[in-house]
Amino acid sequence: MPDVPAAAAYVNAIEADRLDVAFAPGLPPALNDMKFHVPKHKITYMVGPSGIGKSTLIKVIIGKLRPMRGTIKVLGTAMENALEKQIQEIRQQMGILYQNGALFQSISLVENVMFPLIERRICDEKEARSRSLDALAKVGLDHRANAMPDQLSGGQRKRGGLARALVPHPKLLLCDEPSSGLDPVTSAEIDELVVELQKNDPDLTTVVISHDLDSIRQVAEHIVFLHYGRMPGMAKVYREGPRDEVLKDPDPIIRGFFDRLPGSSGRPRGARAPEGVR
Amino acid sequence: MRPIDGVTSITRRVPKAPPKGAAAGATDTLGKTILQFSGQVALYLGHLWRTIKGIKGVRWGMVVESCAATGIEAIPILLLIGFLMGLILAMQAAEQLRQFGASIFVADLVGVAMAREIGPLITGILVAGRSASGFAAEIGAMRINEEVDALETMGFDPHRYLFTPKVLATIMVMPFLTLVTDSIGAFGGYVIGVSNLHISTRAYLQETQHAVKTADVVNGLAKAAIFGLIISLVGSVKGFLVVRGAPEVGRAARAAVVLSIILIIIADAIFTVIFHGG
Repeated sequence: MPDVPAAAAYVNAIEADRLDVAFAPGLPPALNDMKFHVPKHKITYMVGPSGIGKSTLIKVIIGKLRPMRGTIKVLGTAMENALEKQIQEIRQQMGILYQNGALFQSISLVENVMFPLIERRICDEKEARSRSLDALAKVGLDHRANAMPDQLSGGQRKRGGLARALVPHPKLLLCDEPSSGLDPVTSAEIDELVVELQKNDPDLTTVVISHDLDSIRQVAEHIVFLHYGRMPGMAKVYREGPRDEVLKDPDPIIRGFFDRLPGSSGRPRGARAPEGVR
Repeated sequence: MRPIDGVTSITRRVPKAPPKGAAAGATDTLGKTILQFSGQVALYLGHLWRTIKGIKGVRWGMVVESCAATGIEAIPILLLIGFLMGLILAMQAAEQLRQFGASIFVADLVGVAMAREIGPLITGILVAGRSASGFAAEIGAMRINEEVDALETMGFDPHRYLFTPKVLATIMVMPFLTLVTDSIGAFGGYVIGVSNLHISTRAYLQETQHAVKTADVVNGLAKAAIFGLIISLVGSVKGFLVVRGAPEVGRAARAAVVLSIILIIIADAIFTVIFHGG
């Protein structure tokens, strides 16, 4: 096996150019000619209508799905032709918060948070427990450390997932719809937490996939707005830039989305998101 | 009938492709079946390879837990079914053998049949019913809960945590469980021999000892280990293939039981041909 080249120093945490991605091998591209960047050390929101392929984009970022065409660099590594070993290394520099927290049901909350530290042999069990309790304290869950995941509320599971994602000090935090299924107050708490964690860790870059407009307005520093292009069913990056620039853009499609105008999703009426796609 | 427009008349003039003959259709179906079968075999071999790779660094605590769930918890039902099978075998055989004054051979029949065939097969089928479905449901639920994705994105191979401990545990406990079934089945035969056929305890035991060879027991235990591999691999793969939704978990559990029982019987037939075919 050839030696794995080291990732070059990078300016942006993620850079994509002319990226075509299909939901699954053999299907036509659903994400077409995507060009965007995620600036380092900022909170970037990827927004767009449901079913456009935002979560598919996450799969490309973490190396679970290879693009059909184009390039995508994550933390300086070109993912389109990365070796499995490189992908594993990049993944170890990432933390991911899944929609429902994705805590392992068979172990307690604190053991969930300890898991990456122990399994990657970052530290011994005693230190892992102490670091995990600190991480749980940061997300306000140290008092539930020994609870099993099914004893936690939806918001607590997400906060627990966030603690587990952050405990190995990742360079890139990916959050897949962190406010979905939560009441507005809990959702705002998660938003505050994301901002606070980003503020406390200057090396962290956060990418949030969301269509929660309140969250976008309050938390995002950079926005990548996806919308359907001229080709039916194919999404592209319609606009990207600093939050205020994108939110104030008078373009009717952008206004339609951010002003919640019915019919602005770009999908034909009655059409549903493809199976398995968020 | 007059054509309604030019298109219809043009269409009419196009010579139709000759209909496919029954032989061509059958070849197509056979080709598809062979392709699908090869795909399935490749899929299972791929998972098996990753499972074997997971042995290095497997968490033995998980193996022990799996042994307890697959092995110890299955003992009560195996005791009941094994005893009844020995009892039934002996009663059915006694009916025939008594006519020839050969009642003592009930001990031979029950001992050899349990060691070579009924013991491993009944154990395999019962463990398939309990554990293949359990593995499929457990891993399927973890897929839906995004726990498997979380493992992968933390940079860990899910096979090492989910497949390998289950496969190792099932391979290890199956011979032990088979020994339990063999013994209790022989005891069932003994009960009938002593109570119905009035064979003395000593004569029954001597006859069993004389009839059952070490090779019979060892072959049975080896078969059981292979059945263990089939059960655990099929259960785990079926669970791993779940993409979304609780109904899919149910289907995976059902399919795991059906496929593992079919494969166990096929493997048993192959064993019988190899060891006793000549």
